[in-house]
Amino acid sequence: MDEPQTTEVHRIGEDPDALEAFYRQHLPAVQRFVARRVSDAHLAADLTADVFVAAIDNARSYRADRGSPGGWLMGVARNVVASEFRRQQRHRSAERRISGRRLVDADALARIEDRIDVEREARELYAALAAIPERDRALIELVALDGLSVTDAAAVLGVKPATARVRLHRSRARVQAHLRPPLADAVAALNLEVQP
Amino acid sequence: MTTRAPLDGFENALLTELRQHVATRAPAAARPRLRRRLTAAGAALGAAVAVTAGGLALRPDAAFAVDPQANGDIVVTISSLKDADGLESALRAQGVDAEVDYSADLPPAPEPGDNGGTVTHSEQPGSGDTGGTLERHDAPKGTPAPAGPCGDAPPTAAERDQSTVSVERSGDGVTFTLSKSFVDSDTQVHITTSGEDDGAAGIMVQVEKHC
Repeated sequence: MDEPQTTEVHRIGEDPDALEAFYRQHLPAVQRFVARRVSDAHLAADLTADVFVAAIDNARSYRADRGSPGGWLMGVARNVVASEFRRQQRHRSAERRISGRRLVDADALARIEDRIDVEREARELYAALAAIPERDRALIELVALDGLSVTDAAAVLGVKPATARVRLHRSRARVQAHLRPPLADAVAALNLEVQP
Repeated sequence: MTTRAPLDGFENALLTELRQHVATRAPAAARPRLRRRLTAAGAALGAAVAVTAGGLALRPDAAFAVDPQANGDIVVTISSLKDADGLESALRAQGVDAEVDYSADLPPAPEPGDNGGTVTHSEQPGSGDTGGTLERHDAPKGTPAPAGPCGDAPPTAAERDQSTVSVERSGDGVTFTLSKSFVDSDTQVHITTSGEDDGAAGIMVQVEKHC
């Protein structure tokens, strides 16, 4: 167990300076993560805020033996985004602590849109993932979309690496059936080996 | 750490708001001590129903705790009826779609298409330590096991165990365990109360399955 790492994450819920350091370190990854999933710049701003609010409110749940702070944050982000989509499907709107879209100016909006443009192919893949069951989707999202290793993705989701590998093999075939060649090839080429 | 571009206007404004959010959560911001009397009740809409009730007093300085277990279940402790948004956010971070409303007199009505039925918390604010009672409008007590919430077969005993939420009094307030089956699933957990700050209130945990 890496105690300093654990303390560092736990403190973001209590210490604004600790939060700032964490935010500056992980903001780019969170923004890319969101851009791989949503095409609306204002929603992307909202979700970016949501992810950090959730991380702050949930900081005490971080455990170093279940992965790096960055991996943990990706798990938080995945849950926040998935929850948003479930709400949308049921025509409910989220009540937000911090409204990200309210903070966006024209320059920032353009940057968010650029990020969203870059991630267009990734969003096609994300859409294809809707075809597989939720518990399998979480793993392939983190591996195929966000570039985590099988071991890291398994740690984020609290499953054994060997279990993760089995689920990934199963869901990869399903996802490929829903993709056109470039993306299907990319999914076929995923490294699903479990690192020692 | 690597060198990064400076924050833009949005990123700076968000940082400012997040810092404020952390500052308002800090222990120094704890509110004056306030004791309340609550009753607790747990119910699962459409899937299963379980109720544990009793009176308790809650502390205001630590509103809630969300503690993921090694087996994937999530233990939730509510020690004060404050920071509903924070609890909702913490549960979302664990993959549980939750709606927390400490101001509601009644739980929200199911959406059209839900077959879960409705639950009414019949306890009146100020009624003391007695537990709340629940009435299922579409499945009165004593009826045979209803069909599954989505028109499928009735839940098995194992499934019923998995979807049951039992709310218990604990030293800090009320505690309940959300099964790992609620994580990243088609269920939504409603945590609602009745009553105002200075009166009695009930806590109700409902699990709603969407078809």
